[in-house]
Amino acid sequence: MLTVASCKKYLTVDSPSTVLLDDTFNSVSNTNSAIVGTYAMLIGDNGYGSRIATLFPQSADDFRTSGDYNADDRRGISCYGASPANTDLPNCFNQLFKGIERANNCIKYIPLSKPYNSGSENDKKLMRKMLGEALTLRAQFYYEAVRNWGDLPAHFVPAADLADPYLPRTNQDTILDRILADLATAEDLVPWRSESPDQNIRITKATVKGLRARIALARGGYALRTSSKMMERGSDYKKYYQIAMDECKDIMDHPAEHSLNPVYENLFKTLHSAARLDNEHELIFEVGAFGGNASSDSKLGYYNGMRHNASSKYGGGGGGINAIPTYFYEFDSIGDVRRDVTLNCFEIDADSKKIATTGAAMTDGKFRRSWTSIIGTAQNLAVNWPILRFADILLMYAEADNEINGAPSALAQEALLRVRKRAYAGHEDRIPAIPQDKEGFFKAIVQERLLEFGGEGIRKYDLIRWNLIATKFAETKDKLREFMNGTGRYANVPAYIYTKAAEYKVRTSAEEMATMDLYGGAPSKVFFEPGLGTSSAPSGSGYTSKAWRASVTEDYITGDRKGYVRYFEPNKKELFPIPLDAMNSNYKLEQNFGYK
Amino acid sequence: MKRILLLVAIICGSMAGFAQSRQVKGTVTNKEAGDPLPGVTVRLMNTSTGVNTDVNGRFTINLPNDNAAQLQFTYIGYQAKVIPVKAGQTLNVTLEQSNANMNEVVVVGYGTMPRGEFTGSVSSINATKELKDIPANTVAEALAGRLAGVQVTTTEGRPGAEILIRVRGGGSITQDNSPLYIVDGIQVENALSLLSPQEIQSIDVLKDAASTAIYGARGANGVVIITTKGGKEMKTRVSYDGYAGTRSIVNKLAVLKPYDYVKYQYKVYNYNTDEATANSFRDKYGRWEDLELYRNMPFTDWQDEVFGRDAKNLTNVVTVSGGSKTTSFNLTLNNLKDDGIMLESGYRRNMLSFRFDHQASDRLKVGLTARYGRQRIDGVGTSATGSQGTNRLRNSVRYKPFIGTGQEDVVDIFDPAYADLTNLTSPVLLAHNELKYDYRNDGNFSGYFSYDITRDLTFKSVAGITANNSRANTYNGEVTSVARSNAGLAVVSINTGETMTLTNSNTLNYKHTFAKKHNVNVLLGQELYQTKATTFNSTVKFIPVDLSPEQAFAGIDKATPPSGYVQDPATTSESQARLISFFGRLNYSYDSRYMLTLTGRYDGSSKFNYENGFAFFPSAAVAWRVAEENWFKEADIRWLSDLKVRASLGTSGNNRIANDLFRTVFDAKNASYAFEEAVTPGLAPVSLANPRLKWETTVARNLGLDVSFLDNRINATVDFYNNNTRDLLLAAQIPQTTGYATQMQNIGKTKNTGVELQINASIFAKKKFNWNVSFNVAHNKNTIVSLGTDPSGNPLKSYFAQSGWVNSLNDFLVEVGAPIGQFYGYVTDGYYSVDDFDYNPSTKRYTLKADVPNSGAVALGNRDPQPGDLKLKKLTNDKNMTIGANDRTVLGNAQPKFFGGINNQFTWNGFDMSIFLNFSYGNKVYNANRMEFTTQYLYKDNNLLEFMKDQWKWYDDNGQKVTDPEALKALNKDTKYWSAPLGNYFLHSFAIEDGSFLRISNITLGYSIPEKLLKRTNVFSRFRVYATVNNLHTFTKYSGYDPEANTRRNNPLTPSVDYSAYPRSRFILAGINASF
Repeated sequence: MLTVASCKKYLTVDSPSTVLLDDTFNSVSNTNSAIVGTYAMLIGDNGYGSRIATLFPQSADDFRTSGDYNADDRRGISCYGASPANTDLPNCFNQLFKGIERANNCIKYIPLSKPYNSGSENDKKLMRKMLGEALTLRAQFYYEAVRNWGDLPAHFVPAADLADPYLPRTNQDTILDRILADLATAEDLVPWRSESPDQNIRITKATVKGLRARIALARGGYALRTSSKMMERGSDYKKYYQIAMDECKDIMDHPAEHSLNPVYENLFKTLHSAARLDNEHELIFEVGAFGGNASSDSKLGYYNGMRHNASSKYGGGGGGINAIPTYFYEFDSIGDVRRDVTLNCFEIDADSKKIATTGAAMTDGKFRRSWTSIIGTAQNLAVNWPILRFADILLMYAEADNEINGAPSALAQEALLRVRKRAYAGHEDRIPAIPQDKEGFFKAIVQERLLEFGGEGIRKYDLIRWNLIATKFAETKDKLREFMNGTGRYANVPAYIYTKAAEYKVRTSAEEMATMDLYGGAPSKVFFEPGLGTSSAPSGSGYTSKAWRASVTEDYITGDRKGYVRYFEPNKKELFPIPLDAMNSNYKLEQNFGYK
Repeated sequence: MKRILLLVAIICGSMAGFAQSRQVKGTVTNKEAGDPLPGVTVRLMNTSTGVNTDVNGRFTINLPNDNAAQLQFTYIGYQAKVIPVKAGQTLNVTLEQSNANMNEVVVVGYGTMPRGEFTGSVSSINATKELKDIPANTVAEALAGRLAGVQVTTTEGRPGAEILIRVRGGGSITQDNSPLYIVDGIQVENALSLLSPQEIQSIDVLKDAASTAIYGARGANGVVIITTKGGKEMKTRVSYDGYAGTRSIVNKLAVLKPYDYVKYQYKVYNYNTDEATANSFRDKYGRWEDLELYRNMPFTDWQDEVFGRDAKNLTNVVTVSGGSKTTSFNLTLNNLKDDGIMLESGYRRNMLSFRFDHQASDRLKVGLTARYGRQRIDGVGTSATGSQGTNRLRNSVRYKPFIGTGQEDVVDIFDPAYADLTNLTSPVLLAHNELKYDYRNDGNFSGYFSYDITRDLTFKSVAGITANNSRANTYNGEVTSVARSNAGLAVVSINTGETMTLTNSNTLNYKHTFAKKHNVNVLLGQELYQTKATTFNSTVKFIPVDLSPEQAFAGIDKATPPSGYVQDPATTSESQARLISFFGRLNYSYDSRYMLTLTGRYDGSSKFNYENGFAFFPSAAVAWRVAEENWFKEADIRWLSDLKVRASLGTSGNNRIANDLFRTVFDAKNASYAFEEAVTPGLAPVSLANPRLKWETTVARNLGLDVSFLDNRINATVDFYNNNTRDLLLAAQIPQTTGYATQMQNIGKTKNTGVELQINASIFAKKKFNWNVSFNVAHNKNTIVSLGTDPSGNPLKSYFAQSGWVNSLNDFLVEVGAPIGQFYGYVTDGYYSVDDFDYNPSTKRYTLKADVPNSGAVALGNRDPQPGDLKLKKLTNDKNMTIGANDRTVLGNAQPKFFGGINNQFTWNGFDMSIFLNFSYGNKVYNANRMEFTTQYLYKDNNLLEFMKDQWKWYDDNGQKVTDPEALKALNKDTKYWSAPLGNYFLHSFAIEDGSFLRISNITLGYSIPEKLLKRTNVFSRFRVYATVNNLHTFTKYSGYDPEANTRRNNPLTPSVDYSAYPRSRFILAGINASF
């Protein structure tokens, strides 16, 4: 009655709510879903939706995390004193590796699938594109993990195929070399933006090339090495600069695909809404955010960005990241449009008006809740995170060209100039001269990247690959001390400013800045004159006093709880500690030596 | 088909009433009181012909011929009697109450057998005897402490709270250790919530593999066999049992009174803070000089406000039972209304069960059981499976303990600023804003037919369907954190689930006695078991707050997402599991002296690869009934009336893991991405597949002794066992760099060894006064024998487990050689004294001496220790005095040294009384509440447990900070505790408490109106009134609500954590039992 065959049939039950492995990759649309599932590991609270984007890149000489030091939370990261038990690290670490595993599955099974090998031409094309996307996503996950943790257990096959899941750490160079090779493969699989059915809402050829250039520069740059316990770079670094140069050049040679957006501010407004103000497609790759939840949406503009009082009509948000006060004075105060976009020296009060902040409480202005249409108490504002934009391609090209040629070529100079021209729109006469020597040009690049990418999570990793992190931290501390004391270039900076709430109409950043109500005149004047210097506003004037220079104290510079990069140690703290959970689950994993 | 069968049965039944000759009539009464005994089985010896006595104890039976015959009278709880009879005779039979368990019938897998011939180990409750006088709302409640080796733990005091049942400790590490439930031959999940206590005839818990092996698959954690009451041949009887009572909170956690609270806040606001913070104290609580006013401030204990109500309970049970010679039935209706002590909580239940048995012919028996239950549990409770931020008890404990002048309406008004600063919401307001209604409908239908192919050979087929559907409606009003993170609009979740279980077993049973001495009983069978579960879950956000919860549930379409928002998509799921089994059993007994049982079962499960899916579970058992030996009888040992020795060895299995863990499958969970302003669902692997997965197997050895003393007045059963579980189905931790945190693997071994003792004694048995005692005690030692090997080939020694009340806190150590449930943390060393520091008078700063351990990183949020801070013991010998992860140690475990219960039952004339105590000794409890409620962490304005009023002082009577060492010492001469720590919550030995307890679980006093009086009423045949106190008092040193709390149950590795458990209640009630 019950034969073996019928037994087997009875015991084989497939659930309609899951899809078997074979059914996944033998269908183009299921494969697409698996790729979507891989993209999904980019976003959310533990991806670029919050922690990786807003906590990991702090602090550099542009921004830092607000609040007092605690080894176990985000301030521990910002102060370079995170403990292995830090609660903001493990979920991100795990999510990156989840992304890698999902990509590994796609990368193994797409080439084995029927549609890839024997499907229609269109199916084949789609499958090839998706394979390229998987390779690129895996590269991005690995790159993010490596730049934060250094050497890591690496595997490029699905975990189910591993004979032994307990992997020791692989040298970061090996991992980066592998993903650079993967990206070279992916370049041929993924079409240019204009040829892609998805335009640039998904990975395009320029994304692959741009990421390859960025990763090549990191590979050719300095990093904390396990063997020497030093910040070092390989002797063959120029090879990687060449890769970066070539990749960037190829993108620059396709201006119809991507070029500079003439209006700097529009780039960031584009991240905030469905209406795109970026016809030039400068934004090459963004991480998408939507859905109002912790896994597919972001907390950009809620955690970081301009501070909005919770009672304002926009709802509460911002303030998690504060500018280093001296950063404000790095910009050309007259010509550079980027300052007022990058920095908010005002916040939105309970009456939805703008009012000046203290010097130490300026926020990262590229993210603003009031640029979204989402009001109320929601924490997810559907703001995208920019991973790669064309300005970066230009500056990476300029940097690589300068290094390879020993001095900037005309094309390199032109690239830098293009970025500056956009920044100094309307004040082109104030554009600084472009140095002709290698050293001078490099310094100009270092400064230009500070001004161009502030708040975009790029600066810290730039400083590390240039081995300038310790130098710049020391420089910044010196500047902060001068700022505190009102000496040197900060001699005319006011100790206090006096502010009144003013209408906030969500106009351009420059207009909003110009219409701040400050005692003593326009902001262009007040922030550059000593003013009254008293801690209280003139009586009866109706103005409230805000500490400007006075907001920086010795405690802010060196204090145990508030001190700027207080626990940074060169050649140790450039990397994060491996999260305790990961240490506990793999006996072959060694802690980063800076935390032993 | 069934309907036709039923019709046939009814017709046959009605034809059975013709008068016949060769009758024997009689009355059966009990010897002690002379009361008639209804339901006694009267059987013609060596035939299957038999009848039951009616409600008046009367019977009539037809003899097959005129020859003399023998009638056997059997009745549960009474000694069987055999009487020779002749046709036409009228008998008066008295039966003597049996204290000998040996004569009782034991329900075993797919059949019954006399206890005397049983070779396995079983604990039984005869509900009609032991539970009839005790009101219990749930079956599990009735079981606690009554069965040797069966640990019944009520996890918290919430209505409908989960009750954990563990037979002999349970072998699995990370999987479900629940026993298998068989109700009237049908496997039923959640049987305990499906049955009402009043419909239960008996409960038999099979404990050793010899008896569980017939259930092979899934029998490893013990098998609970429940037999429900059927009808009998008797006049239809209607009984009513009803009771009403009140529940009230047993004990509360003492918190700081207003004056101590504000003084503590003064310290929080002033110590090491900035000026603005210090100034804000004055705005909130007043100046230091005015704090004296708080001495007279009325104390508001929020636990009273939230849990303080007298919760009413009303239970009504109506039973109708009766039957003719061939047909019997039992109908039970049960209605329960129980308010929880917490606001907005309660329990409603209606159950109906109907059992029908019919002897269709001499050979064919059919039966049907239908059961329907409908219940509703209200309330969100206090605990949640999430971490600290999600529990609710803290609001009742930590909210400021007074209602300030002018703030009388604070209970009804939500202050977002206060909630953000303190992590607290007014507990009363929150209780009315977080509502949950959990509805369940359970239907359970089963039918059987049994056909005697020959006199010795019977075929039986049983089929059953259990259908369950549930719906949990949750409403989060505007003050809840859920609503606040969704535009401040209400959020409604409607989660529904449907489970359908089908089971069918077919058995062939052959019984024969050869040469009068060789008793053979062979069973062969086959079984199918399949479950299918579907869910539909929907969370609807942005419900306008002016809708009432009822309107919100009834109109989720009124949700209005503000611009830029979208609703979360609804989710559905479906899963199926199947099991196919073949089994056989041979019982052989020789001359009632030597018994042998051989069992084998072959199971296939859909949860494994087909190739690994089958497993064979054999077992063997022997018994020697010494008392039946002639030499024993001849020795005529007066005090020793019965003696049996048993030994068994067998295996059983466990497959309770999720489906599809052996292969890679993809689903859409956590795989959505938004390329544009829309969310695209994706696919991602569900888990890291393990194609090698197979059955977990327990090898159980048991040695038992059944002995009766003093003319069977004292019966004792002792069992020794040793259970070894191998190929544990373990959610093994694997490196997260694989992309997964765990993988299901067959690794590791555990061992449970133990001894159980059960004694039943009839201490006094006179006509007027009876005193029975039953006592059980068990000791179980659980040991992890192996956790498998690490990939380098070395045995894996240990790993951490997290109870999860604090994120990423490794507070349990799973270790080879140790039991499951080891608490792991730091050792408390009081507080730092002034002498531990060097004092610099000019800076007024204390610096810790170099040779004193520094607990700053662990306990103080990375601040340097100061006098009065929590000090921990340094356990390692390294030079570095910073306390770190290596200074943790095992702080105890949850395993009791022994546990059990004592039941005393007295009757005197019409009065009856029972006192039931249960106890546990030597178990430790992890009181996580105590950790949280003595820690400041990030929050101001939070209250502390009362003993913290003796914490370290920094401020003198004038509110001035004292820094001078001598003055500081003098100020703190009476200090007992450290300053409430500023670091995140963690585990140190202060939280580990002795959880031993002796609970007066139940006292009942009843009075039955004498039958003589009742007869005059012509209405009642029985009328009893009684009063009961449940959970009267618990003798324990434990400082929390209740030492049995167990709130981190998601992971079996983290038992006995008392975190945010719902307080237990005392239940006082009165009721009547009446039969008509």
